[in-house]
Amino acid sequence: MSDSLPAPHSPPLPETKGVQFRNLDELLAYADSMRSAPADIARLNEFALQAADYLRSLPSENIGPAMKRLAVSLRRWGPQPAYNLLLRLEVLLGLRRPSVAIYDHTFQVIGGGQKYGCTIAHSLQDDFAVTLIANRPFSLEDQKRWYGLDLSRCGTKVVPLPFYEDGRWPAIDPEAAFTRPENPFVPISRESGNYDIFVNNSMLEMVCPLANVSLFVCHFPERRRSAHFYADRYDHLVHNSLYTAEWIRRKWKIEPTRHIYPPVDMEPPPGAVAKAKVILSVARFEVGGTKQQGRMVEAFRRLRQSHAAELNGWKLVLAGGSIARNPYLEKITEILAVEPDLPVELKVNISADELRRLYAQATIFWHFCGLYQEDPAQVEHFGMTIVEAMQNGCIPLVFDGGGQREIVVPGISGFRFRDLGEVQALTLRLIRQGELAAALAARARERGQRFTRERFVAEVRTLFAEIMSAYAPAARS
Amino acid sequence: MGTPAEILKQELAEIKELIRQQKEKAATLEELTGRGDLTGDYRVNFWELSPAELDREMGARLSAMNEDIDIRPRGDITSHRRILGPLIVAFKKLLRRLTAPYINLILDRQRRFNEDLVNFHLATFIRLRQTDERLRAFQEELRALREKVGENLPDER
Repeated sequence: MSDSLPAPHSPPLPETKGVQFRNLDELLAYADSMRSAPADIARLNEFALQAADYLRSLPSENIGPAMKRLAVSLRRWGPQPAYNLLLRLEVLLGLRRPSVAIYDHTFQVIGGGQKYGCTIAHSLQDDFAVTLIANRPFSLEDQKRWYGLDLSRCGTKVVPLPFYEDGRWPAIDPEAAFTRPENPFVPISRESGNYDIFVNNSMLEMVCPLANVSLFVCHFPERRRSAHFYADRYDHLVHNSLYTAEWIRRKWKIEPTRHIYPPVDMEPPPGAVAKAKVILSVARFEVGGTKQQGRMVEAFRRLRQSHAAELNGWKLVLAGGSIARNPYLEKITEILAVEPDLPVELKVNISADELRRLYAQATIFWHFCGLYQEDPAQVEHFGMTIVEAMQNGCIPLVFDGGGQREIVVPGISGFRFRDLGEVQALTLRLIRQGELAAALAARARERGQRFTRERFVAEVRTLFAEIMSAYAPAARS
Repeated sequence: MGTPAEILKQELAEIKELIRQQKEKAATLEELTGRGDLTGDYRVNFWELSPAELDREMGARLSAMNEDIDIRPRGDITSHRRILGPLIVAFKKLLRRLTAPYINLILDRQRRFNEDLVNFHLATFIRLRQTDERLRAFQEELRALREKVGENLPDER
């Protein structure tokens, strides 16, 4: 199936061995001939490379007049293609570092997707002029606190979206966009055209990219193709898991181009911490209950009822972030209030240090996201907290679906289950069989190393090196 | 005069500034890019959607319809022409005032119809949601019941 799907956009072709411009008239004639098809990437590519060579060969006194004639010619192209060419010429001529814009409309809140974007920025900030773009104010200090990333060599820019600034929208809701005739994300499209490379980390397929090179980072295709759909116009479509890739093909009918798992770096705290009789869950308390902490309480209660002796001393810890007023969290709190003897602890919005301690102490890690769900969006697209737990030697028991299948190898680095009965049986098995648990914990820790930040940074740098070798071949810079 | 690189840098910066100003003036993406194929609009095939996607689709479209119930002309009348602008604006305002009673008569009926239609869809949507929630509760009970029966069977693990 994937063989027949088109890539999102034809990537820039490698350098061509076209005709060299012998004089300015030839160069301008070529520029004029391109005005009918400035979107022809192959020709634009060739023109940019040859123009840079020609300009570099000019003596000082001829540069000014040549550039003035070139400007006249470029003005016939339309402003954005002309601007794109100028940006590229600057890089080809080695006049500045290439610029990268990374857009995420939610940089002001903590989250796995945002961490992905910030880590891309962190990987590139020494070689590129990186700017983080959002629609609401955000601070690099927060990113440092949340993800431990020093982004001090990146710039920031807030591009407001007038559609969402009339007081009706506490957050930027993409669902409101595709039912409107006007596209609220046009200001971001316009902004994208001011950079060499534009990375859309926002999962907003309504942003039409205008940069010379564009990347769409897809954490999951939440919407189908409908109004204002531009994901197929990006040069590169990066996906976070094979599960996401499969749904990109099914929903958007395009072939993703690059697979980069998210960066996970939950190193154990310094010093040895003894494992305790703790079953841990780390997941946001979603208002819709998609992470299923309620079912965890149910499973734990049943386990204690059916195997009281073996469960003696064990507790369930539910950690996760939550918004201020959360009906789902209130429901869990109420359930626990009527069962004060049930050893279940709620840890809401805890610090990174406390979370690290919890991971270090926990023996078993539960992740129920996707259990009894029909909607593929409700299944974990990857599962960063599972990897965090594994890096700390917790044995993962996860729902058998989504990106979780790519992380946990059953019987080797944890187990996968399909219903509540199975997770109870597997938990009991781990509690009973200490040797099996120790072996699984060691292998889980080992497997967790496949998803580290170092690996992510290396993959991002490789991708951008490939992009730059086509955009500005080293020999010319 | 500087080095060739410095001259190139300065010349490119000057052209970029000129083109940047042109970019600012472009009102639409089509004008900006000189391309007419940037609509990016696709028709949704509702038969392909999952129940959750249909739910989202219904909610979003209902909300958009709700905002467009009143289709009477709104907003100030303006003109970007420097000299003729005030005259055009005055003429348009006069025309709007003269025709408003007749147009509003028709559009007011349309507004009432739109309102009824949105309310009808909202009621249907809520009814569907309630039925869906009851069905989900039944499924949950059935699942719990099945697991309970299963637990009472001899343990073969």
